[in-house]
Amino acid sequence: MVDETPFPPFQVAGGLLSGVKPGDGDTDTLDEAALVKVVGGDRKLAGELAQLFLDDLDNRVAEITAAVEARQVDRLRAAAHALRGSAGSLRAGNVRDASGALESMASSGSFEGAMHALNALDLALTSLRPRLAKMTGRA
Amino acid sequence: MKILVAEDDAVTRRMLVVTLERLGWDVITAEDGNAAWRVFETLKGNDVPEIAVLDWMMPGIEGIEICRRLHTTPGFELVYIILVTSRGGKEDLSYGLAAGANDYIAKPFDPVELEARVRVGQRMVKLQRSLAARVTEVEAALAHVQRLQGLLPICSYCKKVRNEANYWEQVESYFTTHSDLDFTHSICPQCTEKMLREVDALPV
Repeated sequence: MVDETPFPPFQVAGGLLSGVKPGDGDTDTLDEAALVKVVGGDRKLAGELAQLFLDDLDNRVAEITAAVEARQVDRLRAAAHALRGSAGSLRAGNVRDASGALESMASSGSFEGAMHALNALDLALTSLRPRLAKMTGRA
Repeated sequence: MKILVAEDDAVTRRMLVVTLERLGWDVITAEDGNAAWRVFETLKGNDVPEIAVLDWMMPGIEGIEICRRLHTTPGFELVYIILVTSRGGKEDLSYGLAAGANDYIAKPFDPVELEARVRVGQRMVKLQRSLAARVTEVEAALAHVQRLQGLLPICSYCKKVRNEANYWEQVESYFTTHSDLDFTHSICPQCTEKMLREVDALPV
């Protein structure tokens, strides 16, 4: 079987680390309109989904970080894949792409540039967290 | 109709469940592959979900392995399986379908597409049920035909039987043609006695 590798890691990381400071309307960080549309216009449900994402986020990031530090390919692939899927469902594009880059690295068996990709993920999450907190009404 | 949603990601699982429940379907959830398999084993022979929406990669038993198990376990073969996957490569999809998935949907899923694919599954389930009912009817009809064939006309005097072509033939010839029987010829004690009496009565 062949795993697809859709996220060139340096391209994603470079884009995220280029100094762009996303605002509330930044759809790359979070396409809130798309998310609300997907849930049939139900903003309350969108807020609930944001909270579900935040509930799992710290554990997921810790697992990814631990996998990179331990250089464990399968562990990184599974953890990054899980975050990519969740971020994709939430229409959080930058986090999806950054975790996808880490998943691609793991699939290719290489940890070259992994710290750079981790930084990219951290940056993407820094932008995303307040947007999600606002959706949950806790900002 | 009952649908099992097995997805480890809470966000995606919630979205799947809400989408399907809003369309009026009865949804059961499982948070990983082991829990999904337990649902099937618990409901076996009772009220098994007709459709399973399975995440490909999840902790415990992966969705692809559940596909294989469902298609090789009596009572589960007809479950319609939709794999949810972010693995979009053609080889991956071919692998998933070969393992027994009936369909797949890409993550992040689109609710309209999900509905359309589940409705296809619903039609397939109805068709399978209808076919199963027809098979039962045909089996009952065949059993009835076999009983009719069991009413075999036989001549009261010469004991020949009337075959399907409406010809009278010897009973041993009939049964040799219509069954696995082979006859060995002998003479019963009563006929032996009768024959001996007839021989004795012959003029010397």
